[in-house]
Amino acid sequence: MQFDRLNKKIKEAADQYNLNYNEEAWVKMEKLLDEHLPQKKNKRKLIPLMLMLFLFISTSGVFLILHRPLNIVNSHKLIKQKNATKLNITNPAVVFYEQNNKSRLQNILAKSSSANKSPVNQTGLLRNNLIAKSSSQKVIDIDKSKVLQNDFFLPRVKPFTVYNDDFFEKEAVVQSGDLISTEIPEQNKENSSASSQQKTENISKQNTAIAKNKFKGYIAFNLSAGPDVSAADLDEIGKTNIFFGAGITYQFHKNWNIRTGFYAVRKIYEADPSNYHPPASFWNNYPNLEDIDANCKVYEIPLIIDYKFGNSKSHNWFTSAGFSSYLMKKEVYDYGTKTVTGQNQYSRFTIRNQNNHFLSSLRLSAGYEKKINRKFFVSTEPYFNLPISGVGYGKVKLKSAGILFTLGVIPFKE
Amino acid sequence: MLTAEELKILIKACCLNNRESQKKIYSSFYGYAIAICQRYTNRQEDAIEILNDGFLKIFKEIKKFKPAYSDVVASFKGWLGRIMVYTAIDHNRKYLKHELTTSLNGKVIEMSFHYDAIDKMSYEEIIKTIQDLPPAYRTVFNLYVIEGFSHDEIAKILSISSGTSKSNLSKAKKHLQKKLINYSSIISINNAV
Repeated sequence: MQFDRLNKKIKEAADQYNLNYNEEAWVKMEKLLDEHLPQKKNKRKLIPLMLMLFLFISTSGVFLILHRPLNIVNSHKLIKQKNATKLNITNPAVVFYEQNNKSRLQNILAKSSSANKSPVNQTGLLRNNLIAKSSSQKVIDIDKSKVLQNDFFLPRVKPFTVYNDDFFEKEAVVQSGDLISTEIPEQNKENSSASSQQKTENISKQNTAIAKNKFKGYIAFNLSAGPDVSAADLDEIGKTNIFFGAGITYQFHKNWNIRTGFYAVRKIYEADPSNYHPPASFWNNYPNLEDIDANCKVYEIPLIIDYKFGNSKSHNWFTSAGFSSYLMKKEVYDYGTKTVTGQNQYSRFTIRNQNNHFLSSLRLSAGYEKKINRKFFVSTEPYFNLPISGVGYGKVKLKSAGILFTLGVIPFKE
Repeated sequence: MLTAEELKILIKACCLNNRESQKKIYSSFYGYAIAICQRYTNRQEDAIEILNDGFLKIFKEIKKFKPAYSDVVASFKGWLGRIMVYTAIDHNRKYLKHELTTSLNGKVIEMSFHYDAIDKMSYEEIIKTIQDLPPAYRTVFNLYVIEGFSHDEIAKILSISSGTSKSNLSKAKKHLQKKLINYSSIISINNAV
C-alpha cells in the first residue's frame, strides 16, 4: 500500500519529466545519421525543367544561327526547268547574287567550280552572263564574249535558299543538276532601255525600303528584379519582398515576343480560415483556428506573350499576358488558435518541396522598354498575378502584384 | 507538440531520409525520449548515446511504423518509448553486463519514513533518485514500475531468472526508501532552521 503511493508518484514523475531540446545532441545525432543513413543527392524536380529550358534555348540559338538571313536585297523569280537539257555540272552550286550599285541583276546561273563548260556557252538559255567566283575568290571559266555591261560577281554559297522580292518566302530551292534560267520580268524589259544610273538609284531606294521592313527574329536573355507583394484577401496585404531571377525572350515577330524564366520570391501573407483549404483531417487538430501567418519560399516560372506597340528605334511599349507556375520550395505556417481558457496560442508547421502548381496563376502586365544600344535594353513592367487555382498546403487563392525591372541582352543580333 | 497531420507528413518525409524532417521529429520527442534514457543510466553522456542510438533505430525502421490506434501521436510515442527502453537495456547489457545480471547482496536496513516527503520532491529529484540506484535494481525497477512489464517478461528481456527480477525489485524499493529517508531528514533540518 505504501509502495503503491510511491510507485504512483514515480510514474507521475516519469510521465511528466521532460527536458528541453539540446542542439548539441542533434549535432551528434546528425553525424550518426550521415554515417548510417547518408543522404542521397536530391534529384530535384527542377532538373528536368531546367533541362527542357536549356534544350529550348540551345535549339532556338542553333535555329537562328543556321537560318540567319543572307544579304539578299533583290532577286528575280527563278524558273526551274527540270525538263530542260541538263548541263554538264559536276559540282553545282547555286549562286546568290549581290547587287552592287552599278549593276543590275539579270540572270542567275548555276555553275560548277570545276566545270569545263560554262553554262554561259549554252545559247538560248541565258541572256546575260555572269562572272562566277569560286570559294577561293578566283574567277573561273568565263566566256568573255558573252559578258555584258551589267555583269557582276556572284559569291558561291552553300546551303542555298532563294528569296523572292518580298524576302519572306522561298521561291525555289535549286537542286544539283537543275537547269536554271531566269526570265527578265516584263517591267524590267520595259525599263531595260532606261539609263543604268536611274535604274540603280531606283533599286537602291527599293532595297532601303525593304531593309527597313525586314524583320529578324532574335533571342534575348534577361535579368530581372523588383518588389512583390501577395495577399490571400485584399483586406490584408502581405509583406513586400524582392522578386528576382533570369529569363529568356524570343521575338518571333516585330510586334510579338514569347518569354519564360525562373524567378524566386518569398510570399508572406495572412489568411483567414475561410481562405484556407487544407486536407479535411487538419480541422480535427485545429478546431479553433483563428488565423494563419504564411511565409513561403516560392519558385515562379512564367510563360508570357508580349505585344509591342509604339515601336521606335529607341523604345517601345508592351502589354503581356500569360500563366505562371509555382513551385513551393518551403512553406511555413503559424496557426493562431484560442485555448479553452481564451488564451492565444501559436503552433508552427513547416513543409518543404511538397506542392507544385503548374499554370496556376494568370499573369497580366504592361511596360516600357528602352533600348540602350543594339544589344542591350532595359524595361519596367508592373504586373498582376491572379489565381486560377489554390496554392500551397492550404490551397490559398493567392493574388500577387509588383513591378519588375529588367536588363536584357541580345547576344546574336547583327 | 506535433499534430497528427504534421507527424504523418514528417514520417513520410523521414521514409525518404529527409534530414529536416528527422530533425523535427528528434526535437519534438527529445524531452520525452531523454527522460526515458536518463532513468536507465546515471551519466548524461550515456543517456544521450542511448537516445541517439534509439533514434537511429527509429529512423531506420520508420517505414514499418503503423499506428496501433487512431491517435497517431500517442501511438508513435509509445513505439518510440519502447525502442528507447530496449536500446537502454542493450546499452547497459553491453557496458554493465556483470552488474545487470547479478543481484547485489548488500543489506539494506528497513526504516520507516513519512511518505509525505515524496510529495515535496520535484520530478527531477525523483528521477535523480532512480538514477542513483545500482544498475541491476534500476533496470528492473524501471521495467516493472514504470514500463509495466511482468517479472517473466523482465527475465526474458534481461536474460535473468524471474526470482532475480523479483529480488532486484525488492531491493530497489528499499534503496529508494533509504534515499527518501535522507531527503526527509534534510527537509526537516531545513524547516527547523
